[in-house]
Amino acid sequence: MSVQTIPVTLEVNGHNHSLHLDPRTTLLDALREHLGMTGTKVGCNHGTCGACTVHIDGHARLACLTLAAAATGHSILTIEGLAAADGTPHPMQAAFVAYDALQCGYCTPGQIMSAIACVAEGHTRTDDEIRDYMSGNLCRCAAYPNIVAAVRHVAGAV
Amino acid sequence: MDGSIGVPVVRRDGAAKTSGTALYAADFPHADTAYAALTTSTVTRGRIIRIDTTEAEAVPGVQMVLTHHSLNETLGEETFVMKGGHMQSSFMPLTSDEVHYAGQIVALVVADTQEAAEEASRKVSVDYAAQHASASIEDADRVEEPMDDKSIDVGDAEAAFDRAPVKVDATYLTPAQHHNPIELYGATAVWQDGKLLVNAPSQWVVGNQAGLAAIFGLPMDDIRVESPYLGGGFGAKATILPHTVLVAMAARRLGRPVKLVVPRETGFTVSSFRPATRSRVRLAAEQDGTIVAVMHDEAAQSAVIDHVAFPATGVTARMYASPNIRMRESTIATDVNTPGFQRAPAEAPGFFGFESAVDELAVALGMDPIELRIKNEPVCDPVKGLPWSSRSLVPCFRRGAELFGWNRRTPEVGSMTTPDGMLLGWGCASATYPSAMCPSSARVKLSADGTCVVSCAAHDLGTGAYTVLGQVAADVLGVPDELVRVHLGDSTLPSGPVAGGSVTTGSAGSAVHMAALAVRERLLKAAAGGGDPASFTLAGGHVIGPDSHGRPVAEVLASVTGGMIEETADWKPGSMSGDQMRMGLAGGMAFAGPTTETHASYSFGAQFAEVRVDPLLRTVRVSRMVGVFACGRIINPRTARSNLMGGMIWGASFALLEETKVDRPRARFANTDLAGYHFSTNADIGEVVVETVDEVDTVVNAIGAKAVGEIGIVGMPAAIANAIYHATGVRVRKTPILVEDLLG
Ligand code: FES
Ligand code: FES
Repeated sequence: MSVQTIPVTLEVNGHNHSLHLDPRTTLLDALREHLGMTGTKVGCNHGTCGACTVHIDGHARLACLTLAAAATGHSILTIEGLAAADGTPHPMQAAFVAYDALQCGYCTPGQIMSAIACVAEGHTRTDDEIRDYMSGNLCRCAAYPNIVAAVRHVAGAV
Repeated sequence: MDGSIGVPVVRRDGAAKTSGTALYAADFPHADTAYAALTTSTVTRGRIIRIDTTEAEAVPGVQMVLTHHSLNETLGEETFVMKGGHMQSSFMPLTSDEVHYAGQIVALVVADTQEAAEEASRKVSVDYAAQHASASIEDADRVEEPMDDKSIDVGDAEAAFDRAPVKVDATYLTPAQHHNPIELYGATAVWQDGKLLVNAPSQWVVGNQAGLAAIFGLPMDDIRVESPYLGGGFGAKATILPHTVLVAMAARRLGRPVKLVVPRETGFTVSSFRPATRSRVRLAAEQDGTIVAVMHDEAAQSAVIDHVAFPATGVTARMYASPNIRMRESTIATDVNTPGFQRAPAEAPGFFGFESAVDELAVALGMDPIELRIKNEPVCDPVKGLPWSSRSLVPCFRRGAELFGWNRRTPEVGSMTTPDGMLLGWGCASATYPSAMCPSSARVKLSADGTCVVSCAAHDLGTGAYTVLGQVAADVLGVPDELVRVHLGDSTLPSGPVAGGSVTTGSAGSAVHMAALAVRERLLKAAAGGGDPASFTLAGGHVIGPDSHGRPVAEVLASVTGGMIEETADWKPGSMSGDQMRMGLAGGMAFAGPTTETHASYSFGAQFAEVRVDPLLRTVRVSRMVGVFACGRIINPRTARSNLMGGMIWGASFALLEETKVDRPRARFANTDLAGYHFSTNADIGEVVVETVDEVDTVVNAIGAKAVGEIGIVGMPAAIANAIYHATGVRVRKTPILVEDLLG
């Protein structure tokens, strides 16, 4: 017997993708396993690490806690969609490199997606505010002080 | 840009990691992949008396269920890494009906989709005959087994202790901890034409290749382990985890790639962990602070299925000059998955107790804890009397004290407060980490287009190896940073060392250095034609002749056959035999040092912590950490700083947060997810200041680089505990230090 699927259309980084998915498929698995977009990472699959953070309609969301079917009709932005058309990195991507705000890099896509939301939502008045906002994204390598520096830099530039 | 040694070159892999294009093990696309899921034991010890897979097999999309009945295959000779093999454990799940620990793999399900595999894994029905089990070293039925070969005796420590006027005798506890890299464990296996490709996060691709070759009875060349990036390792991803073998078997039987991503909860038992320890430390001194006896008895958790230990006392014995030293080690076997290496496996737990005791001694003496340490600085290794290859602990303390503002500290307990009424505590501790070395090969290729390509089956766990190893070659060959390419983490590359024991820079770096020198020699020879190459030099992308006339390197290379020069070098530590080197390069564990016949080589550091304790609620915040380290030559101050900083934050986690709780009646780990297992978040960490002192070490290896990766964690737990004592007067002799420990 084969797996029962439902049709799901996802708009990711401005492109529409039509898929047939097991209804239980998370947005995270749809991105990684069905669309081959592995920039979004998996660290727990239950909402505790932040590695899977993407933007849905401009808000930071956990792709592991979002069913793919529920993301239909919404606009999804992932790490792969941040750079400009000519390949210039998003200022937050550049700041993470400039401040060495990463080590193994596994939490990094999720950190960057949260960091962009942190600046957009204005939670950058103090370092403590940045630390608080960014605490949903765990970094086991503990690049935390450098992550704060990168976010502070981008916030100061906007 | 100048990319030579000592320059803070920007992380070479930064762009790939921030754009989502860096491929980690689970990111490699393989057509027609099937997905695996695990069923794990719900009892701790006993036997499987019935296992029924009918319901699981009926789930739509399921292709295969492997159990100890259906595995039914004889594996080649392989064993536990500490017995000379490459496996995480001596015990291989699914090879018998035995259950040795809770959360042991009892079935592997493979299906067309992830969702079907997970559903089916829950429908494997198992009955067990359970037996009494124990997973805590504190359980009454556990016995301590001494490890006599680890004993150290210098002078008569017991007698000196009895006679001394000032002494400390205290026992310190550290719990089990788990690595919890953010990247989950997992493996993808692909068979093609009888050859196996494994994409698994690995800190030891050549060792994994050798082990899998033995298990599957294949030549090493038929196995490829590819892991160019890994999402944190911290020691957990060095050995072959059993599920990798099962995934490879399933893929071979199915004739399809099989991919497994291990759920966070299951990761606590299908891998290794940092075992719990108990340290009794006895220190004695004269009234003037001269230490006359050092004794450290350490008992550490081991597993019934594998005797394993990471003795700290061989390292704590080397911290202070004392004519009398007595060190003892023992293990306590428990019913758990085999413990393993976790960042500073011996040193981090051992130094919590030892450096807390040094602070207790300073308090008993009424002496400044830095002065006490400096007073007892040993001129040579206190155990063997060997000279240090380099030791700058005292300069680290002096610089650290300056950075931290230590001279503003008032020693009386509770004497410092913040304007908002918090109790302020300032503490410090010493850190060290042995500088061992492994043999390594490396290939360096210089081409007419100006590029320099460095290849080595070493690993970048986030440590900076991609950047650092390129700098070693760039330094010799004068190549600008943007033209350097580095390939790591693939067993098809020239053999590299395990990323363990902080050996990569010193070992792989020495091999890269050797290969680059060989390239340089051939380049100068080519430029010299029939002349004397010794009168030619390399500078600014030009080969300069005896007439001071420079020719661009590209022009010289264009005249060489193939338009490039490539050299591969095999490097070994000076004290290692050729046989040992060959064994190591073929994927065996081959370590030399930190103590050789002539020298003792260790990195050293001084660590400081400031804590703010709420006088009523007794909550603790680490508002400031300072670490100054002496690790020989620092190849890249930028990546070294991040690595040391990460280690210090690990130390803060160790002190205040980390504990894998044991459900003692049910003999298992209890808090097995990231909601229950806590480590530092961004908001837990205040200011972190890291510096290194200049140090020249001409002995340790070809490039003078000592261990960086693990020392950062070593002194931090004690520095924080000592700061908490200074703030509150409560001496907490266990980690994590919790609010309830301070309510006293
Ligand atoms: S994978 Fe989604 S929060 Fe961890
Ligand atoms: S960089 Fe490794 S987990 Fe954040």
